[in-house]
Amino acid sequence: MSSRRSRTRQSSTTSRISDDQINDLVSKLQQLLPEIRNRRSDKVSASKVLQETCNYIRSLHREVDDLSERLSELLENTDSTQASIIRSLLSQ
Amino acid sequence: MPLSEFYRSDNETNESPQQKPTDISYIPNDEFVELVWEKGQIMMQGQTSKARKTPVSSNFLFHTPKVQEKEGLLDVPMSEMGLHPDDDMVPWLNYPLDDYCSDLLPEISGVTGNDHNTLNVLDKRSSYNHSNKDSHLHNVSRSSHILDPSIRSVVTDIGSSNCRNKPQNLEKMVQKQDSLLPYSSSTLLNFSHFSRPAAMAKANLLNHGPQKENGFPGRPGLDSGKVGLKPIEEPRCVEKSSNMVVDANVGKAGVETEKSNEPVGASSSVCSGNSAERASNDLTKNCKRKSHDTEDFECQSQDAEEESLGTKTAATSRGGSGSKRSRAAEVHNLSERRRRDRINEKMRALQELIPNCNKVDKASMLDEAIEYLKTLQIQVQIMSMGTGLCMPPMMFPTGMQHMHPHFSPMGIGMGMSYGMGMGMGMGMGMEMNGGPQGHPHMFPFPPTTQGSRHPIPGLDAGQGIPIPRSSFPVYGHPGQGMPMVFPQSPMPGFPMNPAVRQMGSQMESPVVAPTSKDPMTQLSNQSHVANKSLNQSTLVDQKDEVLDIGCSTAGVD
Repeated sequence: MSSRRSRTRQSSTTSRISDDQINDLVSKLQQLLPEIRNRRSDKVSASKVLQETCNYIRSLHREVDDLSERLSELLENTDSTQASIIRSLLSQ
Repeated sequence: MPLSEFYRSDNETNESPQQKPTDISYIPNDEFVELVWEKGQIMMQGQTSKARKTPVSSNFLFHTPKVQEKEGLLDVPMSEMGLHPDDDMVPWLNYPLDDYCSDLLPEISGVTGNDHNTLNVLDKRSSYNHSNKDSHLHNVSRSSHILDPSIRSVVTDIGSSNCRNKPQNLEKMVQKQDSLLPYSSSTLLNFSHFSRPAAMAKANLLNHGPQKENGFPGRPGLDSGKVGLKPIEEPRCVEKSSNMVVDANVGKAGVETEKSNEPVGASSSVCSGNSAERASNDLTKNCKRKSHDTEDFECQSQDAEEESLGTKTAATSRGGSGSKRSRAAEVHNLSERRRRDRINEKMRALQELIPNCNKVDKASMLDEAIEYLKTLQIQVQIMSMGTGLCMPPMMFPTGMQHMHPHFSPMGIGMGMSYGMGMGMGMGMGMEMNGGPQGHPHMFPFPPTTQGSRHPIPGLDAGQGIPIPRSSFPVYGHPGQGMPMVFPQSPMPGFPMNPAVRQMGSQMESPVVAPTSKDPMTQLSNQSHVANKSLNQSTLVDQKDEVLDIGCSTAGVD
């Protein structure tokens, strides 16, 4: 989708086009960020979006670490059946 | 004012340096060399004044530094802007600078105004000169026998003043120039101000270009000494140099130089003293502001630069309107480039955060980031569900399942069965209410092929609804008022085979739920939000759910 479009646009080159496409992507990115998703009204600068993305990814990393720790703890404590269910769930 | 007058006054004022005490023989050559270059570039297209040129050019190679140094006086404030001298400029001395010399000479007239100031400051500065490093000595001796005494004294002044370049001093000097100087010199000052930004750009380019290449290893001591003396200026210089060098402004700087020179001629010969003074005042303010911002961030220094450009543009409009447009374009370019720099910086940060991202292209970088973000969100959701499985906090109204029957066949367990629909609802709800840490734990769940589905036990949120397994932990959400009962509801789309059902009932047992507290809070948050976002559908099905509680483990069959 977006990657295909970006490829097509890239062929026509120049920074103007890539600006549009980057704006597109940035707004998409913005929709993924809970921090600034609802700020549609005000214009959010691209660098702000990128900054927030970085922050958000970091926080997600932290969360994943946290959760995996917790999960491994849980898996140790649970009986095998339950553990297998969880594992199957996680291994998708 | 007529040029002839201009030069006359210039000559007169140049006498004063000659009478200055030449007690200071140390010339910090590196400083004056730098100034040489500042002016050297600017003056390239200067007007001609042969009278000055002849005597000076007889001074062999060093006349250029000398002359330019004098002009450096005009730009003393510039060094405050981070253009302080570099040792590395010394090698440039060895190149034939005669070409510049002739062009530069006319500009010497500008020195007049500054000479007064230099005299004022001389007393304070001379002390510093004595403390100069020995490394200056060889240069001093060289220049001293070449230069005549009067010029040398001027040079000394310049060097010392440069060494001491405190912002206050410079401001003072600028102010003095404005207030003390006679009518004639005001136009000169105007000129000097005009040329400053351009000179700055040039000087940066020239200073730091060679600096990198030559390295000039011979004088570390001098360097350190300078750093100690001018702690404020150092960072600025580096920052400036990075800006200018990285941006490869060469062409632009050249253009600026031309433009700045253009109005100069006009103002010195045509402009009334008033307008000239006003312009110089503006620029002085600009300078002051810059000097205050010394420690500021890169962006801000660029801002200041831009501003000065803008001011120049305004002043230039008197001279020629043709250059105005290109100037505006330059300003725009600057801001655009700044913006791009910021974005690129963030891009790099992002790239570091995304594993296996080798994309150089911005667009694919962003694509990657988006995908990775989604993946991460899903991962977090799954994991939180995994932890949630062990405690029974995930309770969802059966209504949700009904609402999204098309996902049902592929649903797995409690997580999967309400997969997409529920995840959506939860996610949205949480984000709406979410604070900084309000990452949705529930996200659209990809349908899976796991066929297991187990009944989800109800969770009482404080309403005392009977729970099949009494050992279930009750999360206290007193204010919630929404019974989070999640009974097994009749789901035609969910054929349950006995084995799976048995597994499901095993899942219900609160084996580990009470063991950890953090997950509980987390999950209780989730359920809280879920309650809010799902109130309606839950209400619809509440009756059914309550009825179903009793047989929650019985399954549908």
